[in-house]
Amino acid sequence: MVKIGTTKINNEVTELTIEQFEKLSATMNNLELDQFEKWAKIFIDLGANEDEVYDLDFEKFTEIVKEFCDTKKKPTKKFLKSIEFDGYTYQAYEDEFKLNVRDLKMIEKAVSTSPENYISRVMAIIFKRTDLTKAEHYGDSHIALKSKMFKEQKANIAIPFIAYIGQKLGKTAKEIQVEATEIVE
Amino acid sequence: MKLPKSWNDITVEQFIELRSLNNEDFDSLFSYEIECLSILTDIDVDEFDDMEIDELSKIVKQVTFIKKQPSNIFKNQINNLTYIGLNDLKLGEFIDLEYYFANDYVKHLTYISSVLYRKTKLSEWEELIFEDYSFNIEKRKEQFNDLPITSVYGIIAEYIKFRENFLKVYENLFNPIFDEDELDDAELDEEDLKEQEAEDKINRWSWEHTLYNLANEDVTKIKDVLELNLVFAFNILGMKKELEI
Repeated sequence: MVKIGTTKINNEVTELTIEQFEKLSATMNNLELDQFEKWAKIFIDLGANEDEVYDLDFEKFTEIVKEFCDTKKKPTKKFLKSIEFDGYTYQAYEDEFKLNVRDLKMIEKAVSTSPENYISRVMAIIFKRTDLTKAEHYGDSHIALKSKMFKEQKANIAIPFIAYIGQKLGKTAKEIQVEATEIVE
Repeated sequence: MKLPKSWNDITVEQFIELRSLNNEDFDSLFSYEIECLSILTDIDVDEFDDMEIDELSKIVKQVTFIKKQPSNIFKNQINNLTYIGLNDLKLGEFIDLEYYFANDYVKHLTYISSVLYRKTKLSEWEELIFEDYSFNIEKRKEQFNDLPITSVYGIIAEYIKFRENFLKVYENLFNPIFDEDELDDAELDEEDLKEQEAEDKINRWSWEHTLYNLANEDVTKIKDVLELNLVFAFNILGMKKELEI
């Protein structure tokens, strides 16, 4: 945790929720904001008092940014197998985490259509309620509901999945894209 | 799953279907690749959904040849049909080919093939005679659907090459009076604008105008004009233009 004025804000992936992590990532990727604006927004979004953030002198501000980035806890590399919400079990895999084509297609779509909150959506696609049928897993409203539930979970659980998908998407996309030769015109 | 090994294993119909896909129309790269695989294997798209991504990747890698163009070599003989060549094209055949090439030649590949491959017979002098261009093209084109794409794909490049040379030879008959890139309306005076308007009208009715001209303004003769040798017809047009007759 990092103290800003009278408030303490979360900075570790074990402390941040997925929703906070999504907001933080979206702000970091916002090209319209300069570095100061980005960090000020991140601190305020995480609960710091707006006046206290803008009252910080430059030195103190950079010191807090450094402190915020100096995370102590390493994210887990272990894929969470299942999670319980409201008495239901949501499972990501049986023996070993693998992605199927349907999930990856949906994930690819989620990443491109909702870049600001794709993490919770990705988790909602991967974790399936054990008592539901295949068709029910992928219903829009069901995914939206699961996504909302995952937003409240700690970001730590999403990291291995997001890293795996990022690597998989990049690698597979590279492998299947072959330079087309000149087209006859 | 039986995967094609090369373009030889892909039919004309599959090729047209494949090339009609535009990866920008898909919301995911994988959806596009799966649609391609579905065409190649005749397996429903949904059946790929449960496949592991690594497995899909392996399969896609086996058909990467589809990202390239098939060979430009084509067959002269396809079943009972023979390639007619381009040097003796008739004006009517040329007009139809121009239409097919201007409106997506891949989509029209079976039509193009129907124009360029014909039945033959020997004359009493044992000369090879090609069937007239009067058959039902809608029915004939079906014959090409199941052929390997490599049998006919090369005729596209062959025709494009022929067309380029032909347009070069008869450049003065094809080029509009005004080069649209160089002139804009602001630079034209009233007389130029009128002339351009007349030119636009002619371009709009280009082939009809040409045929009407060659038929000496007698519409009953247009059918005969369509059967004229292409080069001869254009030589006549050239002569008429030069002599202003």
